[in-house]
Amino acid sequence: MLPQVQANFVHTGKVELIFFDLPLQMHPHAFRAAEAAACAGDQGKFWEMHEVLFANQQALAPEQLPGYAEQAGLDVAAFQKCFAGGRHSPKIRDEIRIAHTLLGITGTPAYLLGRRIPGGDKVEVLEIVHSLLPYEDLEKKLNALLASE
Amino acid sequence: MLVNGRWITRLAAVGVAFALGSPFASAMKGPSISVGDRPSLKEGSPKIVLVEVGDFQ
Repeated sequence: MLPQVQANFVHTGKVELIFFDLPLQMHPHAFRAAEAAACAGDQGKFWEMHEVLFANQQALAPEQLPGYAEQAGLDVAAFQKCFAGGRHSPKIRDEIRIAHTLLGITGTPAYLLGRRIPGGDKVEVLEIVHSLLPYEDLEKKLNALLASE
Repeated sequence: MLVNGRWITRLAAVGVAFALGSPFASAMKGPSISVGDRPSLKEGSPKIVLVEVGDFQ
């Protein structure tokens, strides 16, 4: 679904796509994978790592992640330094807290539809979708939101 | 007093209707989250945002 969103809404300049971490406790490797993606983001390659990690969802043991970093085109030594140091761990924990307490989201995937608040780095959340949607449904929601602007 | 009371009620109703229809009211609909350090993908400066809340496993 997201490739279609990217092609039809993001690359056409209509919608900004943002990723928000919610690694679930029931998924033992999810938190470290989120840290790995954040380390990739430090090198400007979050979305490349995002794609590689989702393509390997069943094989995300920590020892496998440097290999994925290499596939995503990262500087592996810098990645490993970031990953071993756990520098993004507090931020990810904070996002989990926000998802649970402010947004009421406890499962993934979920989607927030919103708009940028001018003059800052905040997004006003207009709708929370608590499950995976067919692309057509998400397309309708985004088009309705765009039409209301 | 009764007339004054009705006018006050009407004025209050107009005020509420105005506030609900104003841009300020529409800007206050939902919670807001900070996304300053979140990975973002965009072309130009779109106002509409889709946030994927996910885990990788």
